[in-house]
Amino acid sequence: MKVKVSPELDPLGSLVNELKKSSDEVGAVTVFVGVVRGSRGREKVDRLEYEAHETSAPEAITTIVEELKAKHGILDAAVEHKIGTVKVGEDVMYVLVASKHRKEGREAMAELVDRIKHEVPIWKKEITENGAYWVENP
Amino acid sequence: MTVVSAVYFGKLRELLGVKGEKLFVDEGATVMDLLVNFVPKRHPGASVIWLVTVFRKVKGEAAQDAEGALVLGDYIVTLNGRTSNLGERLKEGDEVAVMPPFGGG
Repeated sequence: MKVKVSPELDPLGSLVNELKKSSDEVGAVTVFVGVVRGSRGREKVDRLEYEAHETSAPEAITTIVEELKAKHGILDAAVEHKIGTVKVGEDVMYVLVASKHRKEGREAMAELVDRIKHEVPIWKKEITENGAYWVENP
Repeated sequence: MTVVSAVYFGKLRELLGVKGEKLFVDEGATVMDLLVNFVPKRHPGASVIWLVTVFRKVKGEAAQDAEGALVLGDYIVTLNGRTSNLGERLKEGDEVAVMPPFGGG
């Protein structure tokens, strides 16, 4: 399992390759890329600024992945989340799930992304043409 | 006196102007004491907004539980990395983190 909360993301291809090598049983690698969107409703977004509790955030992600391995039977996962300033169009988060079959990979991925958004101590501020807003995930 | 660390995130950092700080609290002070007394005393200019931000309000008034204690809003308070019972007593070197609702991803 690879978990990283950092100003720099690793190359996505390298994360895919590492997961493929994690087991001979890997038949699918499901990939999610979170990207900074250029709009907040009708407002134009300039950039996002992320901060994290840098010791607790990776621990929280690791716990979630271990729970999803037990629940869905996935083989492994990799999660990387950027902190600091991220511009429109840039990648913010990589979530990858390695599984024997695509079904459990898709199901685990959906739950993993949702739980990261709600259970991991990371915060984001949207800076738009009109102001700056701290975003709370609903 | 007991020295503990408080760390803040998101809008709380902006409100208080610091990411974290050492606070001198009374012997036997609880996590709740830190939130209600020691942080506001340290930041008098932001104390009112701090209290209405961190604690729940009902019809404009601070919400209280059955024992008369203020009730946390949507904030998570951890003590040394684990979710805190606000009545826990602080010890030398403890870290209290006050965290707004999460917004990652």
